[in-house]
Amino acid sequence: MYYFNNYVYEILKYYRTHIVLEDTISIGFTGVATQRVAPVFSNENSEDALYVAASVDFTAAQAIEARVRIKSVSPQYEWMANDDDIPIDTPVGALAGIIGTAMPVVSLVVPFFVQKQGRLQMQFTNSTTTPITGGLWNWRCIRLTNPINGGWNYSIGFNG
Amino acid sequence: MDTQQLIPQKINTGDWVGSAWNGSPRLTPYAQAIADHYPIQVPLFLTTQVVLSNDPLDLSIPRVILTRPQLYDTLIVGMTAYQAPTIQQAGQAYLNITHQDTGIPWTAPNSIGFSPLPAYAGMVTVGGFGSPQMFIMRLPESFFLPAHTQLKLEYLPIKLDVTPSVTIILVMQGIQLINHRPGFTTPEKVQMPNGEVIPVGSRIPWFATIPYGARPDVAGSRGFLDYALNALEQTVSYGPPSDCVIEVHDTYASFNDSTFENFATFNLLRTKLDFTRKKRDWSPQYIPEQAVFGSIVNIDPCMPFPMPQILSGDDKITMRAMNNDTDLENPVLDGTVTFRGVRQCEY
Repeated sequence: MYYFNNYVYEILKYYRTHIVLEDTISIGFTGVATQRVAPVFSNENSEDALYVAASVDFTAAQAIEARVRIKSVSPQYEWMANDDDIPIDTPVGALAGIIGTAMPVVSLVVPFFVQKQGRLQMQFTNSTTTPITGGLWNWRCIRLTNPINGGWNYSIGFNG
Repeated sequence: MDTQQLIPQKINTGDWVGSAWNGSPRLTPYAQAIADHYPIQVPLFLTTQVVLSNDPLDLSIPRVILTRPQLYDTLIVGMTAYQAPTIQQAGQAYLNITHQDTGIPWTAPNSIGFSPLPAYAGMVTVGGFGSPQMFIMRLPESFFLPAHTQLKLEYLPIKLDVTPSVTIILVMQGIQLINHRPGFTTPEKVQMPNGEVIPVGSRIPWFATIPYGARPDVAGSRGFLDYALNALEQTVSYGPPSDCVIEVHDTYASFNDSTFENFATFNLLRTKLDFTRKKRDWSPQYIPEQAVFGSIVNIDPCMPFPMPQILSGDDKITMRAMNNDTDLENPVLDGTVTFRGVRQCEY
């Protein structure tokens, strides 16, 4: 059973049509332990979207050791916000479901709204003891089409 | 007359959404009422790491981690923890969390004052018993962490084999609450489903960890590791007193003994559990411990009661325990039960 909080329903109200969208991203690990690869980005969408849940094709052990840091790039909101001297990235397994296990997809605590000109930036660090080669990340999303009055945007959040 | 017993719908059962993350995380009415004041909401993953070593100081003095202040108001909804070596290999660390500014601890200060890490957070275990488990565990109530304030995490490795060291990563899953509208101030009160208007900050996660057995009355036995319930013996324990109304949701049991941890024999350990509000509140018989207490072997380690139990004033939890093992060489060592719920206080 799906549950959305009031924030999500407030966004959904601005669109006449809601369609399931999947967004798969290749991470590009080359099998090097603790490798910090170049950031990868969510794919461009022609419509606004809500990013709801994530999964990854790592093993459970790899998902514990591999880390990720995510932020949106338009506008910029840090998900792993901390200002530690040495910021600690989040273990992948705390955010994404692991394909092949009992929980292959895990929902975000709150879906994230990405405007059609916006993207998510994901900075991955490879596992320390069982490094990953390749790696696929899948976002499960809701594509928001047929906007009403231009759709929802973050300025509504500021001024609405 | 106890109106709560006559009119059960008066109990805020709607506040309770359980510990399971399920397909979609669900906010409690209290958390939703707070979140409704903020037009922009962004996921938060607040990660801290601690390394507990076999330094004697680490074994006797809590290791303290402070989260850094956040830019925005935040709701902490659930937690995930990773431990290396794993719980199966090294045992369980104990934790207490305190909001630094109000000084209110989440774990009630009784004879232990700390709760096992799996009572706070879903644990990722690889290849061990209970795997795969629910690795994100919802708190009994979301915690509202105002902007620019901190949480204090105190770790005590009282049941942990720290040779040579144990690394724990704790991830708090939450929501950053953003409202840039001119003149906006953090809400001071919110309305609950029963119409009651309560202050923000008056519902906080509550943990009460009660040991099985007692310390022997001999010199040097002040450590947690001295708690024992010998075979064919019984003991009575009580929940900590509270000056606030407590809403008890579920339980988690932890043992430093594979005989009891793995629950190989269903009737080995029995309990009589009473929420003692009046003299008539008692249980007629001993029941298998596993029937009422969750544990690390369960997919959801925190086992809910049929409904939240309200404790107020002089009410208390009474827990009788009986070690039914006929092998006199098999005491329950270092066993604890953690009751989880919500503390309703106004500060």
